[in-house]
Amino acid sequence: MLNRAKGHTTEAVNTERPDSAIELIGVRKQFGDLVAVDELDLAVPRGATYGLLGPNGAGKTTTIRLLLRILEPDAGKLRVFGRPVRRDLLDRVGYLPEERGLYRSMNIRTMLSFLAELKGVPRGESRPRIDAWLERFGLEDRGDDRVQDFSKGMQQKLQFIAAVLHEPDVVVLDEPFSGLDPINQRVLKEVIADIRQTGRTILLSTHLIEYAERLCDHVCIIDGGRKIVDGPVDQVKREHGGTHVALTLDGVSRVDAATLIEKFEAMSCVTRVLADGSDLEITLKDGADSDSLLASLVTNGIRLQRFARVEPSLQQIFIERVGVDPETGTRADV
Amino acid sequence: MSRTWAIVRREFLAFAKSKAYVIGTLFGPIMIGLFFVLPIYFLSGSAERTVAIVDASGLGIGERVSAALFADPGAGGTARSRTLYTTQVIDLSIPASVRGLALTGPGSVLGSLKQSVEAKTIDGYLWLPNGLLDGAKAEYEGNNATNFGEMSEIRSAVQRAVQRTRLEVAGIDPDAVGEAFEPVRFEAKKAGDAARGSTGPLVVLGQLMGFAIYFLVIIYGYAVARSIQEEKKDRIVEILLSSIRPENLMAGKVLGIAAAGILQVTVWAVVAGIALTLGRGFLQQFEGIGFELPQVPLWIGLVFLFYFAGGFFLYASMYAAVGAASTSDQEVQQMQFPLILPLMMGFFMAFAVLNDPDGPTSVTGSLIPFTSPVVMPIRATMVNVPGLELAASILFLTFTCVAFLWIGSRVYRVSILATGKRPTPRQLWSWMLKG
Repeated sequence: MLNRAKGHTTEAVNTERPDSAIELIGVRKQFGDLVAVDELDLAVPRGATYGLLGPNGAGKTTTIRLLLRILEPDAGKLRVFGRPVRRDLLDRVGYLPEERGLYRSMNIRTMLSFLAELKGVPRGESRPRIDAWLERFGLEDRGDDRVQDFSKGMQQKLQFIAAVLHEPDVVVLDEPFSGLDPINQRVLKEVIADIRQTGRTILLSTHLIEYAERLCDHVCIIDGGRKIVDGPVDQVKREHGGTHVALTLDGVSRVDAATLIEKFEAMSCVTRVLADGSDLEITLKDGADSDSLLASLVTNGIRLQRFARVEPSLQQIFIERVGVDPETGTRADV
Repeated sequence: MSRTWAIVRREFLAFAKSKAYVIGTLFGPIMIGLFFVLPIYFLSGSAERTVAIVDASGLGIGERVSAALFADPGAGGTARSRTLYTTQVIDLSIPASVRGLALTGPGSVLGSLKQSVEAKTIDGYLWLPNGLLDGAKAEYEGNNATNFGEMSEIRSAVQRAVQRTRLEVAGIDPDAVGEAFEPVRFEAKKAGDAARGSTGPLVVLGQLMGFAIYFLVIIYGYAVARSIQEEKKDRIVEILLSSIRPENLMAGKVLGIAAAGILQVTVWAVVAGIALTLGRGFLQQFEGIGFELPQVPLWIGLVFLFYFAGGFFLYASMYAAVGAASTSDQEVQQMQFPLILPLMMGFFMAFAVLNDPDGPTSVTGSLIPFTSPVVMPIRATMVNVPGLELAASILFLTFTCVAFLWIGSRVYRVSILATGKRPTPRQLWSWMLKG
């Protein structure tokens, strides 16, 4: 079912970035005095799974709405497959909005086929696809029920089906995991991984950095409508992560650990310490050496189970660059 | 276009499958029919009354009243059919010994009449006093004394009997007077209207159409607002807007609901047509009492359709904007009143039109696009509207429709995704300009 739909328009010749599925150049959108998106440049490579990350109110949803022409930008250019975004081009884009919405009193199959029809899929063609997707999500017996008889999680699956039913080349998913229980989150992750396998481009907006880290090969972190960081995940980690050390303290009580963390934070070579019990992740200042940290730990008589130089997590980078914990939304001191 | 069509179809089906619509479509004509037929039926006096007439006038007025109660109402008679009376005249000028009963006291005339009324063997008795010709008061006592129709029949019978008697007393032949007062036949025809013939029944139809348009525009306009508001509330609109332009989405919704409305009206018209054909026999009973079956010319149907469609699209575009700007059903209801105010003006103008279809109110009302959908159909069935006026009215309505659909779609576009506080009129205005 994930095969490419036949009859799609041929891609136009692209002069600027033939490798970009989605491209935003200097895009700006203002609501009253609030600048929601500010001179934003983005380039989502074709076939990439691209994470759009940011705290609440960063401008993720506005960016997506601009891309889908639900909103009109005040300035800037938006392109899909190198062409200015027009309605016919949007047939190649699937959209799972953050604010879910379905016709409550409609029959499931009728509604899905109606939504596919709006994307240019004739009614006769959508039926077998609907059945295949319902089966994939374990809803094959519920196709003739009404939306209002479904739980929230099940409605979310329907919403996802609606986003991919017309077999789009670009799938835009705005917070796809919110409202799902862990089991269904896993199912959805697998489905997204499958879609990725078929070479489609996925734009994934989420505040769950951990998922983004596992699913995405490119990320872009935005805050206040501006781009903070973007690029392939490994490059972002290399360039923005600094030197990271993971260590596990040996034989230390929680209270002692807290005192130790304070001690670490006071060290001249340390920028930040993330602690989880006796597991610590320490970010070193630019130019600081992990060897000197180890030496000072040993001189101070701190016993370690583990000491390793590691790649920083996206979470770590996010908190450092944005100053906000993406999951709790609390702003940390930087 | 095929997508707009998909919206039209969904909207139509969603609307046409609702219980209220099905019931309204199927039972609407029956309800309307009952509304018109029942009063006629109830008034068509199947009642039978037994009335005793006590004549104390000494002039034989009792017999005359009795005769008048049997007689046809004649010229100037009311449209309602009459009650069937059985009368018994007790003439007090005949001595009590011959009559067999004294006037008062136990077993007297009045006593036994009161008893009979109480026992319901008679419905009532009429007392015609001495000096009736000079202004003494006739009195009726009975179980049906609160029946307005029957009391006016009896009063009218007494009136005619007294008038005849007065004429005779004055030495004038009442029949000659009757002839002299025979009503003159008169018919009003609008100049140049010869081809249309008598327009009486058409006027009734025109009123029906005008008022039907008024109610249908409100009912279906409100349906547009509700449907849009629901899509907004349930957040479906975001998915829809990622697939279809807001203008097309709005157009699809308005057309879908219009289609449901036209279907409903068509069903009603067909059912009414069949019912009128089948029920002609029944209805013919009432002919001559003001109910005549109109022959509906095609042009009337066209006028109705145009002004219904025009009125609907004009107001639906405003309703759509209201639906998109509202965050709840209550808000739609609140904002509905100022919206339909101009249409209500049209409704009230309709009464002025009935009075003087070529007066300034009528002409103005049939030209202003906000009132013309109600006023023009009524006016057009009453008089020959000058071609220029009709053309201007149609043109104004068409242009305003297009302009309002455009404005409505802009307001719709900018406000459909806005949540939270309801926008102020000023905000709406600036949104509209920005688009």
